[in-house]
Amino acid sequence: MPRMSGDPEQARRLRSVPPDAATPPNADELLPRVARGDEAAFAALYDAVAGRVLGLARRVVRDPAQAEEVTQEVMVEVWRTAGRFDAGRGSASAWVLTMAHRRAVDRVRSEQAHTNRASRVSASETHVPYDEVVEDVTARLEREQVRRCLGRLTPVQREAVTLAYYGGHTYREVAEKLRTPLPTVKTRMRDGLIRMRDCLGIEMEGRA
Amino acid sequence: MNADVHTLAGAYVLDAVDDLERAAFERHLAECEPCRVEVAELGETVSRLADDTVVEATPPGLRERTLAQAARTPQLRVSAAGATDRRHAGRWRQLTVAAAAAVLLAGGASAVTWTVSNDRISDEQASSDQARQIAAVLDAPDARVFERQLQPGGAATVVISRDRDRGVVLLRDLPTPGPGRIYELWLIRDAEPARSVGRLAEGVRGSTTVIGPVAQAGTFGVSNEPVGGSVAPTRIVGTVELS
Repeated sequence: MPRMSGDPEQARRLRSVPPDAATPPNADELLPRVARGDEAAFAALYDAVAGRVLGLARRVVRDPAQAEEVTQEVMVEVWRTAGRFDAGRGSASAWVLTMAHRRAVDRVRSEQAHTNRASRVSASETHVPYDEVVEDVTARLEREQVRRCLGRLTPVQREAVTLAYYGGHTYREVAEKLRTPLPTVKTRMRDGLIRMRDCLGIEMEGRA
Repeated sequence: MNADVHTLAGAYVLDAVDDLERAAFERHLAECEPCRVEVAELGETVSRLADDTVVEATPPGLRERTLAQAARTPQLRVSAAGATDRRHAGRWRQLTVAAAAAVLLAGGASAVTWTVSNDRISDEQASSDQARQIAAVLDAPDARVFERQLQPGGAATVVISRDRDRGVVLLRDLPTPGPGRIYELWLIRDAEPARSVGRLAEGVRGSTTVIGPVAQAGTFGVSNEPVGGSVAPTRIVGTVELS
């Protein structure tokens, strides 16, 4: 890692390469090897992505023990289904994190999690203290960029997106919570993500 | 194209839809190239939201447990994702049909049990009828196999022959449905109401079932229902895309 400056220009330069390039050692290269049954590649992939999977799981399910279970399930599922990964449809880390989010959300929506849902939702707005975390400069720059782009959404778009993603709510629940009609909530989610996509400069290869 | 379905793209990539909506939207995606590009890009965008969560230090025990479990877990054999490798699709299908047949042979006893307990027809004629129907589906030249782990545990394997207009569903290792509850099987076609194609007996956690007609069905689903079943699925535990 070059300099530890918080220079926003540096963040932008880093992000002008494909979105996954900043992820530690090449999840995109490791995943095809994992698909061929390479256990060493799987261990390397684990080291590259498990921290983010656990962080995401913890943010969504809150409970540390359950977040670990989700992480283990997700990583074993990555091992099992690595052959299904299609690089034409997105990056390897996005594939893993999509799976992780889905599992975490399933966990939140399952019955045993319903009991203290209300308290969990309000608690999800607070961040875990930084001294509990391990992070490198890349992770910090990526986070700054995501926050900056989240900040470009309208407040109602941001609310809809974050309630769904970090809170694990369905759009119906979000609509109820915000007392907003369903079509409006759907539109806010999509428009907000489109704005975010453009801010992050994400574009599939071959898009016209 | 249904504009209302299309606006679901945001909720879909955020996992903010229920299982039925997800199945319907994925059907839509299969027919809509611009939607697939949008979903891929928005999916990539959403995965970046994970950057705004703390990267947790993973406990060493977790790494060991995960690597050990992976080492014990057989990998799904996929020839190649999607359309890039259609050349091998035929061979893959044959292999998996053979695998499903092997599972069916192993599960033969439970097939009989299911017939007895569910249909309350205990004569051998019925079970051999079912065996014949199963064989007819598995032997069909156009038979296709779909497998899916179910979210609460267990797995579903569905073999479909559009030509024979029949399918075979193997359910195994489902969690206990709960007192007074059963598993019910459904076929789902886009916007139409789900059609019930079978019910397991109370407390039964696995079965081999012949279903049909399947020609128009897009998705197979299993739900947890009160004894006697429901007019529409109320608690979906898993769906299998039949395409």
